[in-house]
Amino acid sequence: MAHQTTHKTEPDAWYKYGVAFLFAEMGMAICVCGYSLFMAFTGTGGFPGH
Amino acid sequence: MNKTHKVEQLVIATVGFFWCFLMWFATAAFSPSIADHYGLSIAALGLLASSALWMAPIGRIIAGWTADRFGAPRTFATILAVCGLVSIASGFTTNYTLLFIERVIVAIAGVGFVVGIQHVAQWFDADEIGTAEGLYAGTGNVGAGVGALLLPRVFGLDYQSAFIFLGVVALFLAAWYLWRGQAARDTQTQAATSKGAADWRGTVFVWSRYIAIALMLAYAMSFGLEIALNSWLSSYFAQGFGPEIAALGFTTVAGAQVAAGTFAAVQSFMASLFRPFAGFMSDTFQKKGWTPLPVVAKTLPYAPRLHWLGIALLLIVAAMLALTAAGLAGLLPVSIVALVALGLFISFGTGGTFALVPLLFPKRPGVAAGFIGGLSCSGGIVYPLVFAGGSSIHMGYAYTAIFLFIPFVLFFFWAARHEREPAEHGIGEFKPASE
Repeated sequence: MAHQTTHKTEPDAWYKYGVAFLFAEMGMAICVCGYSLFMAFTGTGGFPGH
Repeated sequence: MNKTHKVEQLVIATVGFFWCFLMWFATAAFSPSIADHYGLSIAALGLLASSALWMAPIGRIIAGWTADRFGAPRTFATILAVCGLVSIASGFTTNYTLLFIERVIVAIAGVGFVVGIQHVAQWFDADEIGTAEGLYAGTGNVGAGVGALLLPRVFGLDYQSAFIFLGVVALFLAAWYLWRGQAARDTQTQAATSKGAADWRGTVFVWSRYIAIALMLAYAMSFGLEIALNSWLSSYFAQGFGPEIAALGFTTVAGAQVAAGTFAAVQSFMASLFRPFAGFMSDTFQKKGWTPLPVVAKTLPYAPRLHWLGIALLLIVAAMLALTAAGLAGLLPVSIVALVALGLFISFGTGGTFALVPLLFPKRPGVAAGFIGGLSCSGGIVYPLVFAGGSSIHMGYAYTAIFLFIPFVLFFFWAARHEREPAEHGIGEFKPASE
């Protein structure tokens, strides 16, 4: 791991974008799973339809 | 050295890893086409599917050491170039035996994971390592799902063109990795890591630490379980919930496959796409100083991350037992809910483990990542045997949880109890004299 000499109190600028990206990925997972399960439980098919 | 930024290095590693996973699972995505083309039996098809995992344990161990010794860019570029060239060759092959051998070699791409873990660890600080490693590993893992969903839709039955396309892009990525990639944020970090890898006692030291073994078992409980479920769940739902799936309207074999595959994919999506969140939660535990578990150390600089991982492991055990209970009750919707939860908790485990590895072994991140990320892949081979071996198809999850996972969790709590330098505790004394 990168050597460090001090403890930072504020995250770097990139961090907020990284966190926004990971929340977008979570949203994508929930949407794909929700849509896919809806299709399956209504007998329509799996992602992205059949 | 090129002028660069750690985010650029994160992007290079993530794209490289994403493509490696795409190549790793491309064979599985085209299994039906290959089986049709060569007239393969079911047994031969199973052999082809399982061959993707053969090289992972030993390959990851070697790749981790190589990344420490020679730097991630050179190691990753070599992996991409070799796998890319063999992938292109496999697109022109007309002999099945040769194709099988070539695809086993292309599956070496899966070892790229530990190289990227080492690369990211060499660039990011301790307070953001969980999120950085999570973004890298979680986004890269999606390559497997994207391959399964998109490759057959884009290329149809033409697997040869797909293999050639994947190989050509891999060659471009290898060149990009060599051009823009830098092994570490400064030459001192790179030199210290390379020097550490040169001493074989350092590798044995990592392998013999109780905390490294505990993390390896934790990763076997999470990632090992994830890849085991990837190959098992479709069969499980088709056989374990046949009448319930038919009641939904999927009465044909093809329809039942679509439904069973859809339920199975839920676990894979959750485990991959929530992994960055798990790393972020590890960072959050660290910033807040949360240490709720008994026994586990509370005063280590990274103690809260140990507690986050401990919680994840307990949740995995609970979800496995819930999956068995839902199956025995014949409740398909409850089983899906348990599976969603299991995918989520698996992501907590995978993200939580690799938020810790670079902190516990800062001088040997590649060796540690290779050991923990390599041996744990054996779970993908072992667990399906346990799942299929019980008297009822639903009982395998409970057997795995009770006879394997609970002992793993107890070992983790025991190994993580030391309040000072847990890496000092292990079997024998192999610490290099220089330390």
